[in-house]
Amino acid sequence: MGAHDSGSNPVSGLAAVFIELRPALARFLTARGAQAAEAEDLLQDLYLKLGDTAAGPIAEPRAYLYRMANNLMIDLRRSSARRSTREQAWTSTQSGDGLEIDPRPSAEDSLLARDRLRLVETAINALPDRTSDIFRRYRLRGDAQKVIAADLGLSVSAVEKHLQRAYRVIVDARVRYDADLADPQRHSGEGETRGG
Amino acid sequence: MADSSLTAAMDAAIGWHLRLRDGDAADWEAFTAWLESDPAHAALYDEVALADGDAAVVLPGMPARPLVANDDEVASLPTRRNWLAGGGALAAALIVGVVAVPQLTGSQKYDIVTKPGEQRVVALGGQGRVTLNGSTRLTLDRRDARFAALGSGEATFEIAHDAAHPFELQLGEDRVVDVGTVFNVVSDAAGHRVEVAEGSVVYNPQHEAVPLKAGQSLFDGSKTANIVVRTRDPRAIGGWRQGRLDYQGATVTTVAADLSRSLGIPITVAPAIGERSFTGTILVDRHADRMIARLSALLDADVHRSGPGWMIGAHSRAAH
Repeated sequence: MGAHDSGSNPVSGLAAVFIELRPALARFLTARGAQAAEAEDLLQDLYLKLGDTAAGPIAEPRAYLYRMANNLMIDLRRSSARRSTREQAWTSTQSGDGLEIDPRPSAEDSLLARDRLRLVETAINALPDRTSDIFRRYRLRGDAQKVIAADLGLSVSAVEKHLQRAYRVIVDARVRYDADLADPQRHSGEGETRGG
Repeated sequence: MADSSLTAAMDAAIGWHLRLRDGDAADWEAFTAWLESDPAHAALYDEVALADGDAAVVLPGMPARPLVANDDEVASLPTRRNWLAGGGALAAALIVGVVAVPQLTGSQKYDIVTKPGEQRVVALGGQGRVTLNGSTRLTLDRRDARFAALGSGEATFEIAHDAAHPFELQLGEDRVVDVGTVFNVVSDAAGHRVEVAEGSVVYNPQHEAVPLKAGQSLFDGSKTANIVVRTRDPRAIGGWRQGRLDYQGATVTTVAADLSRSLGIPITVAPAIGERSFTGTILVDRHADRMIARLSALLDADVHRSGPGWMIGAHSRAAH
């Protein structure tokens, strides 16, 4: 596989786009909150993963690369969210650098995640049927907003409002869960106000 | 940040999440500018992205409610919408898979293994969930949230759509690539079986590239060169999760293998009736005596205990 025929080889074509887009991706990752070294690691990882993509040409390579970078960033956040959740919920009896040798998620991870997912599920269940149907089509089936709008005879902006509402309730469920974990007795000295 | 502007900023973060999913490079550049405009924005967007990941795990477990219901549909819908809150046994045993940490070096693969007859659900953060049948080995990779391999056994995958990054399952040397689907996989000594209940997958996109849509069942035997695709009622696929095995012209050997996997009991079949065809539904009962009696009646065969397991053979007398 060489760089000669980038037109017919989707992976080397993508690599070329990546090299050109790299500074923009680095800026994006920084704006997402990555430290300089983290951003470098993620970009290296991204480059190595270019070959793993599904077969076939990619319609929008730059958007695709941004999305890959974003997904890697989200994975990072998910793992650190899990670590800090566990730390908040259970008193650590050992000091240490926090690096886990055992790659398997612990039983505590599952227990905590189950609690949090239960809240998310309850929040989705409380949505009106139409909203949850639209959310389901969007998130599970991957239908675009305009496809959903056409199917249900709604305007695109109406569909967007439903989606905004659905996401709002699941974000609130998650934020509530984290807040309760951090501060079960509401003794927070942070001075944060919370809506009802 | 005051409460009302926090709300507005969170709504903006959600708006960005929606816009970016089908967005182009210009949208991503505009998003970068929004992130840069206030250091608090990145954390807000993180919350949206992580909540979105939770939804991908939870939504498959919540049956869809039709907006226009007729009597027949309502009668056949499961009434329980709270997969997790409903407190079922599978939900209580939920395992969270993968804590992806991209910068780790070296292999960070790990296995989730079920005992014979044990069924578990594994949440794949951000992507969906997979239900493992008994005696099943699923391998995940902490370095890569998108890696999954089925070593042996059976699993039903429910994956939320991501056109930009299809979910790919390794089955030994073979691959199943899925953009967002419900599909069931069996991997055992006989070979690989891949069946789609919803959506579509591609089997071995780099080689045979067999597309499968809902209601199609593929068998890639370990001893045969041909891949066979046939149709099946999509509602029957992955039915083992509800303890229901539906067959249309399957061999008794296949039925025995599936039942053995769900029960965690070795079941052998006498060669004389192994190739006999069976059409019907088997409801799995973990009470051995009842199950043996039921199986015997359904298969019109002699079923008895043999060592640690069961043996299926021909009747010694004709049945009435």
